[in-house]
Amino acid sequence: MPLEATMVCLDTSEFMRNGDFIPTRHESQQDAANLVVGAKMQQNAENSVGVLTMASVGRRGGARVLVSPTDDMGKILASLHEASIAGRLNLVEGVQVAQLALKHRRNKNGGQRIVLFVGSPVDADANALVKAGKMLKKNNIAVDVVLLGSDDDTADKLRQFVEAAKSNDNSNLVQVPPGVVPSDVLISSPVIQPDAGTPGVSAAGATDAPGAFGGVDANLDPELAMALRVSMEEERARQQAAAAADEAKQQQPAAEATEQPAATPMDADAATDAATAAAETTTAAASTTPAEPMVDDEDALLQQALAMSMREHVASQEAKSVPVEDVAPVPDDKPAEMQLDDDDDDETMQLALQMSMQAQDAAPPGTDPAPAEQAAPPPTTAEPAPAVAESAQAATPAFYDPTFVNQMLSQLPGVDPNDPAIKAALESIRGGPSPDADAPAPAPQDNQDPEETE
Amino acid sequence: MASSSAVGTQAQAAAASTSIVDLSDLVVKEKCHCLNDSPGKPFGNVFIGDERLVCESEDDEQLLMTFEFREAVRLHSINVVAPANDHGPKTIKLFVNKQSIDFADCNDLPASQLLVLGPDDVAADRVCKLKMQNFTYVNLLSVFVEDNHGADVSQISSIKFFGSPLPSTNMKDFKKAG
Repeated sequence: MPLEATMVCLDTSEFMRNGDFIPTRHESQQDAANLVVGAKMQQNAENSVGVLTMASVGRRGGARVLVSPTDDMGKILASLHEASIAGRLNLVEGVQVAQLALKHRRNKNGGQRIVLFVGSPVDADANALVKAGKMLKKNNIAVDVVLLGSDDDTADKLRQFVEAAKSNDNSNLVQVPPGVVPSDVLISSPVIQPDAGTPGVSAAGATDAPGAFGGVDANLDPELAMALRVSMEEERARQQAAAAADEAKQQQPAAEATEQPAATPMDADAATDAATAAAETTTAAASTTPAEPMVDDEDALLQQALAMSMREHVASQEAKSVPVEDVAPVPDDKPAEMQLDDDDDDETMQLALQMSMQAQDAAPPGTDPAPAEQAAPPPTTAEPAPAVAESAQAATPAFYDPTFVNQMLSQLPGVDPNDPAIKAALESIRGGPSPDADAPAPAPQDNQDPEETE
Repeated sequence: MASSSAVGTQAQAAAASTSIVDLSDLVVKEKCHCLNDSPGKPFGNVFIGDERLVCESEDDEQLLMTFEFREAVRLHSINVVAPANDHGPKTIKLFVNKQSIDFADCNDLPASQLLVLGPDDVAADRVCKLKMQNFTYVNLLSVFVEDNHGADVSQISSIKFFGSPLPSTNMKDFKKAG
């Protein structure tokens, strides 16, 4: 803290009898001055503080020095106590006398500062105040003005005064509205904390000032203040995330209604637990292979899978939302559905597959290609099994057209048509349907069993 | 102007008395201060010795610099270096041993010496001779730049003092008796 000599100038005019501050303006001013004096004396061991009153009885009234700058705390406090109310405020004279008192301070090192308390209308015109302010600036004297009350005219004059005296942002105006305890405002203001707070005119009662954070003085306990600040920021981040999630949930039903009006006859709001998309795909792909049995269970599972994949789909693909038609050829050509008796089941299963594929492909775009590849093969590997179906024979030629297959694969996000695994799968298809292609089917079925029994 | 005759070269000043030395070492920089200096071009630049670094006035053209010496000195001459344009100081008042002087005092109190400098007198090799009778015992010297050659603000890049330190007691010279 810099070495400083300070003159505290009290307004002791008759206006200070006003009771709008508690208990009166004068006593709250004394309280605030007490705080300023204590702070200044603590900031540097060699600091000195003096007190003068800017109103007194006499022919003209005028400034009276109660104690010239000293480091004797007892003298200062006693002088604060004995300041009594009388007369009218004479601000310019008070400033000049304070300047004179500072000039004759004992310790010439360090800066000079005047702390003015003003609680009554200022009679002096703005020009005289600006002139006094410039004089202070020229003599390297900083000024802090504490305005008690909310008189706009006075505030404006004092603002000009402070601006004129300001050099290097060393002067401040603090306005304390009625009803607020002045010392509460001052303790977080640059008057008391030259480093903290915003320089210049600071708003009164600013509870979010860094100094008064969470009721903890950051200067006294920086670690606690830091911990409070960090936890508050974390909480804020958590709330923002929750709000974003709520918003997404609200958008979801609307998106479902618009995107899938006709194709989903089932209730998409069926309760679903959070499950990985990979599990969904295996479930959905595996559920294509079993034939007639357990149609009801399959229905439930399909509903579940569809709802889950739709949720995934909506959440991850709101923006780009690949149209359903784009991927439609895959399930259309896929003969697995033909094994199922029910047409509704076919449709829903087809949708579920397609959705979960989309979700799978879109959710980790490029980051994790492995599951995406897993998602693509199931239709192709499952395809040869029901080759006996009559419509499948009509559909299979499309798969033998390499350009169509490549085009289709390239449309699937995250699938690389040049991938060796996919190439091998295509080769096996082109080689003709073989009974060996059924081999992967039993394994997923085993996985599916516990889920069905649950 | 009385001052114009007092202005000579540094060599002449040195020739006048062999005991006259540069007193820069005796200036206590921490206790020197300046009023109305600009925060951007502060008073400290005066001590650096680089002519490009100047101390500039802030509000108007006036500057009040106070120099404190470690021990009392007898001043013989002063060297003021400033830009040779209208920022250079014109009227300079010197005050001796005035503890708490401010701008109001500078106009009221009688100066120990009044110097009027032309644009040529603020070069590095020019010195202003002082009236020795007024500067025989100087602890504190205040240099008040009253006006300049027309600019809004004044600039000074260095001030040097020449003279002789007064004989003082050097405790190291004492020998323990017995």
